[in-house]
Parts: sequence; C-alpha cells; structure tokens
Amino acid sequence: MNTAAAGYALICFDGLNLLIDQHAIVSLENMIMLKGGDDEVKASEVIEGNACEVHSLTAHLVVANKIDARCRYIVVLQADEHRFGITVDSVQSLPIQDPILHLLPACMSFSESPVKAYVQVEERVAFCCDVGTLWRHINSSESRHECEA
Amino acid sequence: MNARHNAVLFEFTSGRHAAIGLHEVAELVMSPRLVPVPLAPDYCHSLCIWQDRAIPFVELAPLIGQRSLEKTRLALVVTYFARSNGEQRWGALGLSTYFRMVSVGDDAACLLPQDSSAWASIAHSCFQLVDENVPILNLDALFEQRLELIS
Repeated sequence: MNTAAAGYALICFDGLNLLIDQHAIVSLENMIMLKGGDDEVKASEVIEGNACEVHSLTAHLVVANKIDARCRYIVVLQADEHRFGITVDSVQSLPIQDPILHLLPACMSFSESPVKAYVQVEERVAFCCDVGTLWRHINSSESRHECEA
Repeated sequence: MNARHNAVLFEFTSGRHAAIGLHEVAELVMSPRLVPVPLAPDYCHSLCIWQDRAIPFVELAPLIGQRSLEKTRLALVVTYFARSNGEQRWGALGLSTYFRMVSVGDDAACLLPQDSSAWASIAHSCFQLVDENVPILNLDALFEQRLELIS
C-alpha cells in the first residue's frame, strides 16, 4: 500500500500512536476545560460551541470508565454528522514527508476495526484510524469493557 | 547442523511443541521489540519490529485455548510465500525456549492433536516425537487469515 499519508495528524494517548485525517479535527481543547467537575463529566457541559461527548480510550481502543485526567488535551473530531472528543497526551503534524502506509497483516485485521493500516514514524509505529469507524466503535458494545483509566 | 535435518521443533507453551520446515526459518530474535495492535486478536496481538519491518507476531497457545507466554523472550522469524499471490512474507512466532532441529520422515506421520480444532486450520500435517503428536505449521494459513480463538 503506497498511498502517501499527507494531511494526517499524529495523536498519542495511553502509549498508542494514531494517525487521524486532519480534516476530521474540529478543534483542540485544553483539558482544563474538563477539570473541576466529576470524573465522568461530558464535554458538552463545558466546551461551548463544540457540544459533544468526550471519551478517554485505552491503547486497545476500549472506552475507559472515567476521563483520564492525566491527558493534556481534547481532540474534537467530526465523523459525518457526529461530533465527539477524545482525550490525548499530544497532537502533532506527521513529522515525516511522504510516509508509506502499510496494510495491517490479514491475521490481525477485521472489517469493523477503525485501524486498517500503519506507518513507521521514526522509532514509532502509528496506526491509521478512520474517524467514522472509530465513532461507531466507541458507540458499540464491544468498546465498553470494565476498565480504569 | 545435520544434513538430514529438515524441520525446526519449538516449544510454544510449557511442554507443547510444534514444528516448521527448516527452510522457513529466517532468524531467532532475543527480546523482540513488540508493538501492540489495537483490536487485534489475543493470539496475534502485536507487530514485531525486525530489520526495519513490522511483521505479525503470533502466539500459538491462546489460539488453541491455552495461556499465552507470560513474557516473550524469543521470537522465531519465519518466511513463507503467500498462497494468494506468491509474494514472500515474514512473520514471527513466540517461543518459550530455544528451538532445535530434527529430522522428520514420512514414517513418523500421525494424527493431529485432539486438544483443539484449530490445528486442522493451521497445520499441514503432524508427526510423532516420543509420546507427543507435533503439528507441522502451515504458515500461510497462520498469518494470512484472521482465525477464531478456541475458548
């Protein structure tokens, strides 16, 4: 798969590196917007103009029971008509030119996964994530296991 | 290496062995660098970084309903040709200890182990070694499809 990954942002949370289409990013908010409320506060209560739910995800893309207060930012994403936020440790533009996207090996991919490909970014591996599929995954029962952020 | 050696025998969990063809072995890696893949199945949870490639890392134990390795110290890098297009591919198998080379003849052929139905999907054949039935893996079948876990 030799498609260049131009226009991607690299976000990191729980040790996972994800590549997100920059066009899907609505805004970047400071986590301080969520501080002061209860642990499961919804961003719709505090982010004016971007009313949406905010989730913390684990490295396995499981929705955490509580917002991870260690994260520094909230990335607000747009998936078709749905808007949602995820907490992240960092956001940056892809630091390399014309990276090569590799499809995930057949043994570890499936059609409903938001992750279909990866890129090697310097010493890291970042997974390309489709925001629309991520939204459907977050709202599916499979993404909601018992875990602590 | 004995000239008659034609297979590599390895332990994938305590006391359980599988084999591959000697010609399918690329390298034994100590302390492999693994990158977990979100939503990947338990038996194939990570990519292994090897020679600037990211190759799938497979553990056989969870595939047949046994506990996976507590800590992966060894990865056996293997190579095969994909049945779909003839391309050469690489993968890595998690080992609990060092492998050894053996000579396997047709006279040692036997039935696959009966402890898991997964063997029929991932093994070419099987041979008897002392009192153990040792499956010979079909690497294309193991790495080129997503297999269902046996619970």
